[in-house]
Amino acid sequence: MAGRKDSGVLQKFGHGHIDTLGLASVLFVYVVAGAFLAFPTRLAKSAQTAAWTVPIFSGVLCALWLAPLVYVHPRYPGKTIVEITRDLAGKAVAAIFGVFFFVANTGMVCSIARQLCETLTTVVVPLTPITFTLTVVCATGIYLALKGTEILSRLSIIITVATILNVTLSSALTYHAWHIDDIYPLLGPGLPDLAKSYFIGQTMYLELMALGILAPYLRKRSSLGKATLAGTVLSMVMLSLVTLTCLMMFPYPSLTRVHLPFLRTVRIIYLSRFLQRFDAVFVVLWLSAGTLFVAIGAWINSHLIASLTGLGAYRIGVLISGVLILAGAFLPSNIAEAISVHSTVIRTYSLLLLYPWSYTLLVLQLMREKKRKTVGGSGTGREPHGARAGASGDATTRGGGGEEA
Amino acid sequence: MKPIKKTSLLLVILLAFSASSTGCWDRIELEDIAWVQAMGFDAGIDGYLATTVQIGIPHSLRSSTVAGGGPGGDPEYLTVTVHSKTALEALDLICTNLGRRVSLEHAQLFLFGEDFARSGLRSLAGALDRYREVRGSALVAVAKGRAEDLLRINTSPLEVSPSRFIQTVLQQHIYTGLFKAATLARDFVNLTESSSVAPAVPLLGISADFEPPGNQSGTGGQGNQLESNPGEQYPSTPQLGERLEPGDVPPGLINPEGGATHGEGGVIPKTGGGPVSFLGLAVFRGDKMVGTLSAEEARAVLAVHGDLERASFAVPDPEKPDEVKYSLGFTVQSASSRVSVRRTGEDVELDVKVNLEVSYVSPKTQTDYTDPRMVYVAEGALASYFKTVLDGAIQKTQDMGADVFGFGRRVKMTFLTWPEFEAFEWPNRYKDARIATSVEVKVRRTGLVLGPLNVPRWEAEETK
Repeated sequence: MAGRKDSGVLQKFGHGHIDTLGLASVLFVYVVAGAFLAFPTRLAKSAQTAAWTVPIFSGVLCALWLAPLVYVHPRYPGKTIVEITRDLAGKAVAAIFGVFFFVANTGMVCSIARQLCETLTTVVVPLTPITFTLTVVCATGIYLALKGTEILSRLSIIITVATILNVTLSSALTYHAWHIDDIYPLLGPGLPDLAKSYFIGQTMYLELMALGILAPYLRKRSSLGKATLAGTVLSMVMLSLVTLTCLMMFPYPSLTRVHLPFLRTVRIIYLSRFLQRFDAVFVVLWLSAGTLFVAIGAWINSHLIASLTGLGAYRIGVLISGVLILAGAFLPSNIAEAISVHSTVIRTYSLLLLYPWSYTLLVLQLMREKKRKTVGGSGTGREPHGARAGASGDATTRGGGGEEA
Repeated sequence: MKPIKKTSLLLVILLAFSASSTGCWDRIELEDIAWVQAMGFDAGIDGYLATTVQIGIPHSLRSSTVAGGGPGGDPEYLTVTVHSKTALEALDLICTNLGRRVSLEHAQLFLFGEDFARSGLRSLAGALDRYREVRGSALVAVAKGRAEDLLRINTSPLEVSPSRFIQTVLQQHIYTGLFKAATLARDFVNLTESSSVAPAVPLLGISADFEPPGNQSGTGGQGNQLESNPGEQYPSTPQLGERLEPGDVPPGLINPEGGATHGEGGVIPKTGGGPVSFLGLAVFRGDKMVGTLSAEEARAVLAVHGDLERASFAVPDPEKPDEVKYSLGFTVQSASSRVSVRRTGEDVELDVKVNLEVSYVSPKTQTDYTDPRMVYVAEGALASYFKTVLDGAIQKTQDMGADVFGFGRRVKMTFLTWPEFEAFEWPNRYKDARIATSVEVKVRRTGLVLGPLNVPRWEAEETK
């Protein structure tokens, strides 16, 4: 990292910017793509009949660790969260957090990619080897990641609109079968256990850490909070709607054993003889979101590799992370193992990443600002050491104009 | 890289993916598959499972609908019964027998024999729910007798395929309320796990007037109906002079307290028509069938669920309660219910209020029940009749310990946490719950005319 202290990601890669809507959409797709797998099942196991409230209350709690990031990021334009950590806490701390983030992100993408392909194989192409489906999904994801930030952003907007329509329509079509009493008893396992579920449930928003990589690309720095809020609220609503729909169709305790509740819900829709195969549309949209999820995962990993190693190349990072995702996805011996690793290891322990990192950065940033004021600087603390590099005002410049600029 | 090189590379990649995708592992020709339309399960020999599949024969269906098929043509389906340890094993064996891969992707009905259902369906229901080809929207029913018998006979004289019959007959619960359609995932498998509501599935039976031919081959269809050779099926039009005799009809169906809609599983006082009927409900406690409800009682269940969309009732006229021919006819257009719960410790009191809206009244006597001053009498007659049916149905299910009405859903709402509700064990307390019912009837419309048919005075004297 020597000699690169003042340079941020935009100086290294600099391939485009994303606007507020794009950032919110990327965050939304990254969070929601996994919701159609065993996500509601996991929530039902911990929060029982109150499972549908977990995405909302956990989402609100997320503000606790998202707010520090939103506060710190605009003060370091053009830099990723790892680079900001390096500036504030030093190389060692940055390396520890960076590696932790990389492992958590890779593990998460691997397990979701594996679950997605296993599901696809089970439901749609039962005779096709998992190696083929995984390779195709990962190859497509890598291709999309190689196309760069703006393509990912635009695709995310399209997939966001499609996913919202898809989930809303699928839920609406099952409305006639809903029994409101399926959400009773309202407190599920009881207040103490529910509170624990809300706290642990924050890890369902682990994907929002992508903010730390995406923020430098935001065209208008001041809208970071707005974009984060929009992406989070949209995710909260959709995750809650998906869980609520599943809970109404597979009341507790049935939901705890259904592996793909939302897909099963869509398959139950029967409007008439010729309107009963909505899953054909659903699977296409779901697969698109899943592939985009892998692409975003590879894209984030390439930035983490660059931030950790000082590698100035973007494409090689995408290829490395793509290969890692493909290899990692094959590690679990079956889908049950993939789900177990995902929910009990990756999600649970990612809490160690979320809070310490964001609060470490906040405290160090506030100390730095206080120190600057005490020393007599008249600055506002908004432009710390090295922050000007690579940014001008609201980051409208193209940082280098191309890859490895 | 130059654009032309890039495009060429992209084309090569696309071609490679296209070639590998189109020749993928899941390529299956339609003519290589045997599509199962209905599947039945019974207890087999020595503890084995008897799996019966009813498979459509596509070329026969086409010939009967397009090329003047039908009576005398090829059979439209075949049935095979295999005894094995599991249903999957049976499917494999059927593949080797028929020479095609058997697919359940279009299976619309899963039928369980009565004895088999009484022995418990947990393992089979779980396996069906898990299998990727089975859709949760497929229907389930219990057959009075053995499921394999029902799948061997031609179910309807009107439809060319059994699957079409399954679709059309199950729509009749909406128009009659004489049974309640149940889907595999939502109405059966999920409810076998439920602590608040017990599953109830339609009861399917062979009509009392159906006498199976002595030698059946297991192939059916209209093509064999008029023949007297093996495979002979039920003649939908009876012989000239053939009629029901008083002894042919079960007593509960003809006395004033009962009625023609009080039968279950194929018991209809009829001659001719099709050989099977959906009537009434098979009631489950968990995964075991514990009893049945008649078709009229099924209406009570639907009314409490708020799912009674249409039903015709024949109610004793208050003026001539003992004479069946003067029964008042009603068409109920909608039903709603309200269930209030009072729970004190372990005691549960339920107050069930059912509201019926009537859109047609057909008086047989000279009393004008459409007159605003008299309409309450007709409303009261139906309310009293339906309350009796409802009370009887509730008592029956309490005796069975199976809450098919879903009162437990309301009881559940009185608890704050799931562990408290689970510890309460509602299925075991249902039989002790005190349930008060009330039925309110509102006549909204009376049909196309007001008042009864005006009979000349000298004749009306007889009908007063």
